[in-house]
This record gives sequence, structure tokens and C-alpha cells, in this order.
Amino acid sequence: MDNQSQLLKGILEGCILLVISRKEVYGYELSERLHQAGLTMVKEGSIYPVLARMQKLKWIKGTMKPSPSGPNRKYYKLTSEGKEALKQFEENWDDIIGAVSQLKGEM
Amino acid sequence: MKDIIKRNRELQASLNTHNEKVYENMVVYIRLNSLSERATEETLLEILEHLVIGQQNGKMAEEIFGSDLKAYCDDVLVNLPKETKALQFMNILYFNTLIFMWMFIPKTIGEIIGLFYPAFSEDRISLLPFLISWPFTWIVIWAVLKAIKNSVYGSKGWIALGVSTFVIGTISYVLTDQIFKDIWTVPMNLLISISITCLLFTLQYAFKKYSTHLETKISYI
Repeated sequence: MDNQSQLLKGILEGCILLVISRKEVYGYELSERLHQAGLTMVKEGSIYPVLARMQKLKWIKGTMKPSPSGPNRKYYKLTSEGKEALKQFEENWDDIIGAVSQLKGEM
Repeated sequence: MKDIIKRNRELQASLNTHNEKVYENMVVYIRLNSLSERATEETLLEILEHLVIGQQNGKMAEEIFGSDLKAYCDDVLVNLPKETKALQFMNILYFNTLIFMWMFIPKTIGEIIGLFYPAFSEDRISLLPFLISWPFTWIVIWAVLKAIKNSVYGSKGWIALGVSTFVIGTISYVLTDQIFKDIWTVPMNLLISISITCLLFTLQYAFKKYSTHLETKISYI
């Protein structure tokens, strides 16, 4: 996450919220999901500082639970604050997409 | 909490030499903070789990965390939560009692040896060396931890500073003990000495217990 890192960080945050809102996931599962979706421009490991930040903001809550493969893993779920943040992100995102495509269309 | 650290140790054993070295550096650098211990350990375990799976898929640590590992660790550190005020307070009480206990133990040992060789026994001891060494101990601890942390990613100069502060600290304790021998003295004998040591031991034990209790109850707040 070197260039345009602030922008990418915001997008990464939104994508993490999206994934967690669909299903409770643990760290590695989350990073796999993001990569499958094509978010390959960020290093896999960069989700952990973001997850820590989002827990501090109380957007998500982690619970240690047994995973299907055995060991206890920390599964994340969205809080009501997180749902609010996701809503905000989706609105912003639609606005950005709208603005960017309109400007691109004018070129 | 113990479970997390135990699992961490087990998983670490499955890393290859390179990844283990990288992870160990991250652990030292990230653990030496005054942030929430629970949140720190939970994040370290997640990072390790990821690294273990990544390694099974043939990945190197740098491919997962980026080549600038220090920047990565700093990014983790700024995002981890602080300890709660209650826990911080309890930890300060704990470490201070611990410091006084360790400063007092040599006196008690002196009194015990004094039973057989009276020359070691003291009738009065000065309080001043304790008061001088107390802030000094904190400075030494701070410098040594800072030295360990900073030596992980480069700057070896800190090690020299850490070691020299430690040496100066130890010398100053011995010296002040001699120089201020006769100032601010209080009566001392084996019974008083053992009582104080036991009291300090009980106190630090209680503080530690309560601190652990607070730690398990509160995670991300």
C-alpha cells in the first residue's frame, strides 16, 4: 500500500465492512474473499491494522470461536455503528462513481 | 489470554527460518508497547495464522506484509487500542510494588545471613537510596525496552544506551546505599525486614491478579 494509500485504505475499509456484513469471517478468510473479488492492489496483511482500527471505532466486534478446521479463530461481525458506517460508505461510493463516470464521459 | 500466547508459540514452530525471523522481529517490535495487551496478542495471533497459511501456499512474509516491515508494524501499533484507565492504574501500582520488593529483598537476605555472620546485619537502614533508585529503575526499564525495540529494525546505537543506563543504574544503587547510609534511617531487624518483604510480595501479587482480571474482562473498549 504505497501509492494513493489514503484512498486505498478508505476503499479497503468499505470492502471489509461489505464482506463482514454478508457473513462472519476470520482474518485469513476475509483476505481471501477480498483477493477473489479482485482487490489485489493491497497486500494481504494490510487488513490487520484496518481490522484493529475498526474494532477501536466499534464498527466491528471480534469473538474467538472454534473454526471448522479446528483451532479457535477470531470471527468478526458488524455492530450497529458498523452498519451505519457501511451505509455511509455505500452512499459516498455511489456519489464518487457517479462523479467520476460523468467526468470521464465528458472527456 | 494465556491460551492465545500458548497457541502463538505452537504455531510459530511451524514457520520456516526466514518467516520465523521476520515474525519474531514483528513480535518484539509490536509487543513492546503500552497498549492493550489483549488486543495486541489477538492481532499478533491473526498475523501469525495468516503467515502460516501463506507459507503453506509458498509465500514469504514480505509478500504478505510488504517489504517495509517496520512501516507495517507502525501501522499496526497506531491502530491498536490503549489499556483502560483502571488497568493502567493497576499496572502502575503493580510495577511500583514489584520494584520496591526487589529493592528490599537484598536487605532481607542481608538480615538472614546476619543471623550467622552478624557483620551483614544492619540495625538501621536509610530510606534515601530507595527513593533515589525508584525513579532510576523506571528510567533503566524504559531505556532497556526502548533499546530492544529499536534494535529490531536497524538502529543498534540504542543497545549501547540501554546497557549503559542499566550499568549506571546498578552502580548508583550500590553507591547511594553506601553514601546515604546514615541519613533518614529507620530501625531494621530480621522481623521488620521479612514483614515488609512479605507485605510487598502480597501486594504485588494482589495487584497482578486484579490487573489480569481487568485484562480478561475488557478487550476493545
